Amino acid sequence: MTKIRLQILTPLKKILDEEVESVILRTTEGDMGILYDHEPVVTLLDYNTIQYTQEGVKKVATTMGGFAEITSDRVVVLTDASEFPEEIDEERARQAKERAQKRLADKSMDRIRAEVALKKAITRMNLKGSI
Amino acid sequence: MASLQDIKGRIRSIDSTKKITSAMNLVATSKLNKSKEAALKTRPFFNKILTTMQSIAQNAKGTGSPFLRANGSDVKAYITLTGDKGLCGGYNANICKLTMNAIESKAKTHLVVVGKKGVDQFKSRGFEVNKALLDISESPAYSDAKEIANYVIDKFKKGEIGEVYLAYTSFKSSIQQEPQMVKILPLDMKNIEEQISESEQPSDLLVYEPSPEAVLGYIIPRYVADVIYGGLVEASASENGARMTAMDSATENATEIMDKLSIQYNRARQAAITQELTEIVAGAEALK
Repeated sequence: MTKIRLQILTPLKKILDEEVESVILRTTEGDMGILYDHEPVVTLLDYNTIQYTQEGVKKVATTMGGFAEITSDRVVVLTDASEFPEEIDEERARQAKERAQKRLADKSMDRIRAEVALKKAITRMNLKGSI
Repeated sequence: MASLQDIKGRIRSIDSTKKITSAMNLVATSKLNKSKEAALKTRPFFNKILTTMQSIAQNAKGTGSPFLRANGSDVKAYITLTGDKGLCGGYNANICKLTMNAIESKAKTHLVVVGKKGVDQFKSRGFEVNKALLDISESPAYSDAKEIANYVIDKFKKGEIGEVYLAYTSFKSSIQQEPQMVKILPLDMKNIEEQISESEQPSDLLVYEPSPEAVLGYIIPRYVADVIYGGLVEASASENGARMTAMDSATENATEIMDKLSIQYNRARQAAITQELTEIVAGAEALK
């Protein structure tokens, strides 16, 4: 199987730069599966997870918004933050979720920011819970 | 000639100044390493954003994004990145001068200044600082860049400002920093293309999901925030570099002055001894 190069970049550092067999992205429009020789696409990402297979092993990481540029032999993901399951602090995510929910209930707070925080926390908890 | 006491006092005060400058030198050196690392880590992301901007720009010439053309306002906004602390040579003064020279009329200028020193300089010269951000220049976070970006984008969309420039000190090496000004809005595609001309050519038949407008609407504000973040990170590395060089030469100067003073001190001491001896000998002679 011909491989594609997957790069995950965040403003703070490069998370991943490896050869993989397939990638599944969660875009704002839904899931998108990518194999070698995909049509060139630029797509916006949701607050969710990215799944990829490397040498037959399924792996998963979070993507917090951002976008992906797909060309025939490479996928470049640019996102605000990205973590592997082992890097996630479940307790911190749970607290962040409660905090965000409280802020959403309080009308005077910054709604958009709280919503984003809630989405991030839920994504992290889901990923942690699925293992 | 100054008295022994005076010289001793000066030596002591210069010695304590030297202790401070050499300590600051060490602190700046270790901070420089940290901020240099941060600057290097941001670069892959920053370069990728630039490449993507280029390929999208080629594809999106037809789309009517408001960020691609002038909006009619003749007010120019300048984002100037300075430090919160002094004692770093000409770092703060140079970058402020760059902005001041670029300003054509005070009335049609909108100033966004990062760093206490810059705010003070602009205010003392009679400029009005419209937005000041303090305590972020040392270790800038992405959220700080986003805050500035949202602020200027909001003003740009409302038509209150027509052009946005970013003045920052780019980090060439630990001993060389260069004040620079880049235009952020409206997007100058030629400029972007020049900056990445050496990188690979992206394929020109891109599909946008969900739509070119949505992607552009997301990526342009993002790009603005990234340019500002890149500037903040570079500026913080430059500030530490400038402080390191300034403190290094200050320490050197202090050593030089101390050497001179200790020679002076010894001469004065010897002169005093000689004089005392002559007086004793003369006194003894007189008693004979």
